Amino acid sequence: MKLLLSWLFVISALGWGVLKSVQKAAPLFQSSQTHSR
Amino acid sequence: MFDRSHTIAPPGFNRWLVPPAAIALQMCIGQVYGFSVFKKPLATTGWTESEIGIAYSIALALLGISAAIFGKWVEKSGPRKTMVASLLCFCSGLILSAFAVRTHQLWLLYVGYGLIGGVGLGLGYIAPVSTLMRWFPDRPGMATGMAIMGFGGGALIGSPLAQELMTHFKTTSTYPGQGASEALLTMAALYAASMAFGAWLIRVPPLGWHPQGWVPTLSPQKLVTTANVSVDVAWKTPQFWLLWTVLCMNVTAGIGILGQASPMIQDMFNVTPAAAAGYVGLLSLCNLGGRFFWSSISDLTGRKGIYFIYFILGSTLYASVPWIQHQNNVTLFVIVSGLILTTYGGGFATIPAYLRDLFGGQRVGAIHGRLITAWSIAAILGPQLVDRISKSQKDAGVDPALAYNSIFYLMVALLIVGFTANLLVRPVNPKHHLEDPLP
Repeated sequence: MKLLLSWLFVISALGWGVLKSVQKAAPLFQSSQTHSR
Repeated sequence: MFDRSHTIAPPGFNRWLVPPAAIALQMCIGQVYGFSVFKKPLATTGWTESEIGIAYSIALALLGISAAIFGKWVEKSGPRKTMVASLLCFCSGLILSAFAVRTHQLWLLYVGYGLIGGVGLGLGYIAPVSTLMRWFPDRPGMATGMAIMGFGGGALIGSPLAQELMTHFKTTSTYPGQGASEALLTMAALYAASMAFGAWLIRVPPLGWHPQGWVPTLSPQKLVTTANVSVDVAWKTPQFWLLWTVLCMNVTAGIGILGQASPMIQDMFNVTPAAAAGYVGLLSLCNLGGRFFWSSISDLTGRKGIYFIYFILGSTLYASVPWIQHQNNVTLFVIVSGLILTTYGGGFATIPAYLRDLFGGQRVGAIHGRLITAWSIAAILGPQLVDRISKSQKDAGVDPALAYNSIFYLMVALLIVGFTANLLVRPVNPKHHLEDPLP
């Protein structure tokens, strides 16, 4: 149980950070599809 | 209750509890990477962004200095006491920073976040590394990769967490700084809880413990020793300074992109600021993934081999960037720079296992502490170097889109220096080996 909870805690925290980064990165892909120099 | 002797694991302890303990700590202190999020809110109090940035530089300098100074103490005291000391320093630093904002005392920000918080960073960074490698002698690269990935993840967590907290407190705050003071206090509480959890969870293996079914190899590899070297001797060997150069070059080369990522992609490919911010986020993800991926692969390739891959891949990719820019292929640029950042992260995560291979596992925490000075120096000087080169190019009238080419070629040169240092690494002379086992 301790093993499961401890991994759940760190994966949730890191997962939240990764999710926020992916959300932040979204405009880059929109830009690269539509924007040309 | 914090001493090493009180943290020896009982029989049947599951070693997979140790990585989350390390990550719970590292993902808190990794907040330092996201410190820039406070720059603009704190600048509204009357401080300039460069004045605020000095706190970050002090923290990074103290990270290296404290890791070098306290490395021996960390090895003697064990991971739990060190993690508690790291908690006290790092969270006190955040609390003092909150009071610095409230009372508008810049020196208090330097003392709190920079000096005291920086000591917390140094202690926390090296605290679980040797313990992890003792629990995972069969996969030391993967074990340290997980912990150091946690540090990289700290930026991904710390930056949006601070932003959300500041947004929450902004309207109700009675202090200047757009809610930064309350955000810092809340983060101190949250981080203290997570770091305390890690300190409570961590255990050291009993002397002589090894994983069930795992037998140390009878025919040792050339660059993997079964002996140990003391920290005072290790740092006087050529191998230490070669690895110091390897780390310093690898970090500086990664910072070549990280430090200028947002203005660079805007200048080179004319993308929007929002897309540039997304690019920075993506690079952080690559940095994070590379820490775990490459350091795990190093258990198969060997440490010297993996650094050859980092340097060859990194220099080839850097050299290709001007051509990619000429093709105006932003997607390929993002992929290539992302790959470079994976090797940057991998370089950080693999170095403790490389030290263990060369100097043995008993004193590796202390030796790692001294090697971290390479990171401090690269992290402070690297961005300034890159910033000055790009600025001088622009001032000289070079098209902003082309002003970064000289930086990319400089990075190739640095990576070749790192490659050469790695090439020169040989086993440590047996005369340096210790005879007494660590109790």
